Amino acid sequence: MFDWGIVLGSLALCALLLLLDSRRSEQGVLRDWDLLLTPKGRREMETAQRRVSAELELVDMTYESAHAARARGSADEALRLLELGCQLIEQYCPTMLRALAAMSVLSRMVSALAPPRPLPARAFRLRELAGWALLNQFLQQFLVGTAERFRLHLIILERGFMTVLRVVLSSTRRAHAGSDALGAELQRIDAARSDVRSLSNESLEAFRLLLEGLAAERR
Amino acid sequence: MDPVQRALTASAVLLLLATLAGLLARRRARVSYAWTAYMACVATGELLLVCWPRVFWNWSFFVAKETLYSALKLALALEMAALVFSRFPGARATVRRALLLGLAAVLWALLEGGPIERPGLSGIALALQPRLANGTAVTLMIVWGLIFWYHVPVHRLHRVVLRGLVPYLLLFTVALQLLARHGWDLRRQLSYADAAAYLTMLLYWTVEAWRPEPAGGTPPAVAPLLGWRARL
Repeated sequence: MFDWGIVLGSLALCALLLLLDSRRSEQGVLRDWDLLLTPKGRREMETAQRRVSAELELVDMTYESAHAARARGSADEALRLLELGCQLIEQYCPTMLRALAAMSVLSRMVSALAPPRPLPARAFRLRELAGWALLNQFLQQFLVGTAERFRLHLIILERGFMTVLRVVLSSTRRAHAGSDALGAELQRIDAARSDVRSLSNESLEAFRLLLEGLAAERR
Repeated sequence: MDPVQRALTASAVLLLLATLAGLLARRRARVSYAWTAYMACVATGELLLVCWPRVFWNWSFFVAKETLYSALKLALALEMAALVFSRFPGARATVRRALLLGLAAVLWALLEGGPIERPGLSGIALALQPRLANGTAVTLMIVWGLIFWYHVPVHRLHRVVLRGLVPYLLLFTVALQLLARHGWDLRRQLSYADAAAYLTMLLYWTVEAWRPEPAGGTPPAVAPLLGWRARL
């Protein structure tokens, strides 16, 4: 008797495919390809670079103001600015995560990618992110194709953004405990801020590699 | 063949002809040769059943036509994969391997799926047809999954075929499995349920075949990637 398990498994897979199909837009797929195959991709990258730079500048200004307020002895003001900086990073990280997810999809179409250089652990000040970078270097040894290495690179960047967001949220919460806590958590947030910048630069570099890989594929 | 079954079969023939007419009117019959051939064969087979049930309402004709339909559905999967991935050399090797695996799984299921429990053609049909239908559905799902994985553009009608045919094939498999398990007690109900599912799929295909192409067009840089454009 034919296995019912196989039939039920097939039904589940069919349901999943129908769900994915319902969320797919054919015009969106055509737009994605148009982005990669034309100078629009380069313009998008330049726009993304400007946007990332502007958002990170705003984050830096906010936290520097928090430092200044604390130095003046105004703990309430420092905490308020800390909350504001936390909100900015809360808005920024999901945007980068969505961009990385889109890059992961697009990378599957590019068969000839220049291998991304491994994330340097020394570029990160947070211990957790340095750990992710070391893990990335270790796992790269076991992967054969450049496409797989590229996708691992994107996964590590995604984990990095999620870690930074978690660190900023928890540090901002702990900073309310008192003056000493505020000082300690500001230092930790400074490290997170620096790492957001490093992660953003690596993400933009990954986008540039994707475009160059596709240009090489088309030649 | 009772009057209800005859009416359902006749409705299926009308919807198939309407779908083919829509494809011809919209000049989309060449989007998939295998799909057009499949619908033409099914329309012919079911028309024979409606017009001469005494001659064709038997197990040998059922086995023969269902085998032909399955072959055409497998050809549809292969044709779709060839059309969609023809301009993506990086994906082609993976697609080829995945389809070989799918076809090997179909063959394995047919040969090793277990003993034929009933004697005669009815036993062969009830044992092998579910395996063939399920295997064909899995092969189509492989193509479907690879389209998502590689994020490649496809023609609207290719997605219409997949959305309709894959769920129907699995429901057909379930119906045959229940028939084999419970015997002829449920034959009529299962036959009606299967026919209703088939008519639903055909109605969906008919609507989509007659629908005009959506506005929007294809960006010029992307057009060379669309393997089926030469057929439009």
